[in-house]
Amino acid sequence: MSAQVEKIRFESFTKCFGDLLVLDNIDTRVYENEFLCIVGPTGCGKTTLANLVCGLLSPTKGKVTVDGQEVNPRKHNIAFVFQEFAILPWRTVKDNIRLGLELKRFPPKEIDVRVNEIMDLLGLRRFENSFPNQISGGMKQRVDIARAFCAETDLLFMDEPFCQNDEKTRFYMLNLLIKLWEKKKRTIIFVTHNIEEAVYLAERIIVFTQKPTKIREEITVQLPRPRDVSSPDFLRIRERVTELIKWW
Amino acid sequence: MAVTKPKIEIDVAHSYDSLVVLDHIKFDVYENEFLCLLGPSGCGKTTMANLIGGLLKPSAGSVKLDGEPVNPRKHNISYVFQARSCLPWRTVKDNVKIALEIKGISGLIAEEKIATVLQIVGLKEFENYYPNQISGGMKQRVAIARAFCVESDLLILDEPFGSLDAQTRYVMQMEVLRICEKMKRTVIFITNNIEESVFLADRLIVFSSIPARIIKEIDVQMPKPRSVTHLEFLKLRSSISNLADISQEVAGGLS
Repeated sequence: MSAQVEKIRFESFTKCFGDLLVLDNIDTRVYENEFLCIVGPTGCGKTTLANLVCGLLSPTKGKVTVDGQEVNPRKHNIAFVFQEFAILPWRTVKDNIRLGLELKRFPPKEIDVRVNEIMDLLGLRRFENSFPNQISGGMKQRVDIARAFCAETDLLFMDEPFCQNDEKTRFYMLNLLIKLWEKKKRTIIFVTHNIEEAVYLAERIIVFTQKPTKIREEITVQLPRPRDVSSPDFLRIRERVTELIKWW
Repeated sequence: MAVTKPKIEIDVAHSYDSLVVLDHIKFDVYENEFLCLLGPSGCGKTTMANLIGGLLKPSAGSVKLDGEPVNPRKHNISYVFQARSCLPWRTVKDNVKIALEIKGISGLIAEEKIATVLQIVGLKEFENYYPNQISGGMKQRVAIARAFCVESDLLILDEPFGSLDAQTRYVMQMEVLRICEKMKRTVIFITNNIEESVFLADRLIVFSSIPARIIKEIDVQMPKPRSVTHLEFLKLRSSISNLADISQEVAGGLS
């Protein structure tokens, strides 16, 4: 488990759209370098949460703080990886990864060092000069992830990035992600529908209820890595989370 | 599983111009069997479904239903497509009714059939709702109800749950099994999801990536409903996932 330094804090965090209460008094914290997974039923307000965290929406009540200060996209570095790729078709793999650092006005030399390191970690070096239309979907996803990891981030928010992948590719990506996280140390909130995926990745899982969304339960996952999806301990946690999420 | 003669005999190859999609595929389907066709995306599964349904003529070979070449004018084939297919100007009930209208079935018989099937898929209370008033999972149930409300020789389901989230998907899978239990049907269920195929299938045919070949045929013996966390289930799932050809190139590379 990561050292318990509080990084992000949600305080009575509430969001309504008109009469519709979406997030209802969410109180929780995320620790520095923690890998937190959020699972919840469809329509429970995960996208709303993402938009609130990055400051695209403001909460109806309560707040999110990063290192004790109210979240502010101009000050805090929050990176996102979504299901759809966010890649510029006119830039090469390398230049797509550079983008994040260019926007943050890093010196070119440092950009090179960082981008090269991350491309090596993700096996993208051979394709650095390829354009997006020349690479497969899985590769594009890696470019997205590389970009998210190469800047220092206060928080990396990942919203079902792998739900379109077939099973084998998905596990390959999950393992890459774990490797990166262990090496580069980041605070990650990873949202998923896939309970097996959550148990495979998380140090802690937060289970959301249906709308109006509250925290149903928090589950700490202390299994050693790499995790075995068919081990009894793994299956026990998976079944427990499934039970919590069940509405049928 | 049935031991009698096959209901459907498939022996086809198909190309679009110079692109070979199906490279000599031969298999049989038995009456009241739940058969899953599993393959990576883009391997030609939908082409396969269209050939079986008689919507497309194979470049070579034939599809036979009860010993005769398949013919949508003669055989009753229900098809649930990947894309949702509700008419937005018709209520849930009237969307299901289409299947009967086309077959010229009306009156009390039609009303009864519709009532029964809506009951089974759990949409009775929503029969007067329009598609924009119901969820994605419910729309998919409308399509399934429509497919089940007529007597059919064959029911083809082409990735019907592809766009649903994991939990809704699970609920729908249970639903389909329950409906099949109640109203015996011969089902061909197409998916690229290994877990889903192991959960549903009596028998499972695994296709390679394009040009599609059959790389494995598996009788799934576990009793239904199956548990996705059962050890035997996980073992079968991972053995399929480890078949060399099933996954897109994982290590990456130029597409």
